[in-house]
Amino acid sequence: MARNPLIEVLHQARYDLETCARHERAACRRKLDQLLREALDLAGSKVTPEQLLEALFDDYREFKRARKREEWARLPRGK
Amino acid sequence: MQAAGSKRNWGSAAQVILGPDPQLALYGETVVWFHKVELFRREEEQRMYRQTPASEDVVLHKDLLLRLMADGEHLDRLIEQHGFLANAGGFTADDLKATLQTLRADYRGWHEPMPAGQRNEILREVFDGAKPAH
Repeated sequence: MARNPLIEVLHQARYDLETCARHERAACRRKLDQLLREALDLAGSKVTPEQLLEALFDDYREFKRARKREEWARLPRGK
Repeated sequence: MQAAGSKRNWGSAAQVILGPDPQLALYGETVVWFHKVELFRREEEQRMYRQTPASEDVVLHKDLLLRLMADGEHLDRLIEQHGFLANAGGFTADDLKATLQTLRADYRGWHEPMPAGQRNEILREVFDGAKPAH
C-alpha cells in the first residue's frame, strides 16, 4: 500500500523524540508539535495536536516496529 | 521559586526534608529518572515490540509507565519550586517535560486507546481519507 508521506514525517519526528539524547528532547518535541500543527492547519482541522497523536498511535507502533526490525537485522546474531 | 527568608524560618526541618542543596539533590534524582526511562525503553522494545506481548507484559508495562509518570511529575513540580542546575550533560527541565509528555502519550496509546470510530474520523478529517500505511 502506498504510504502517506505526511504521516511518515510525523511518525519519524515522534521516533526521533523517543530515541534522541536527553538534551535534545525539548527541541525534538518542538519539532513534532510544529509538524502536528502544520498538518492540522493544512486540513483546517480543530483537532488538537494531542488528539492527532493519539489517533496515529496504532500506526506509529507499526512504524516503530518496522524501524526496530531494521535495527535488529543489523545487530550481530545473539544480541 | 521559594524565598530564601521563608526557608530560613523553617529552619532545620526544611534542611532535613529538602537536603542542604535541593538543586543538587534534584539533579541527581533527575539523572536517575532518565536512566530508569531508558531502561524501561530497552525492556519495552524486547517485550512489547520484538514479540507479541503476553497479558502480564501489558500489565507490567502499564504499572511501570504509571510509576515513571508519577516520579517525573513529582520531579517537575520540585524543579518548578527550586530551579534546575545547569549541567555537563546539557539537559534542562524542558527536556524532562518533553520526556514526560512522551510517556503520557504512550500510556494513552497502549492502555487507554482512542475509540476506533473517533480515530478514523480524525484521520479522515486530517489526511483526507488517506489510510495509514502500516
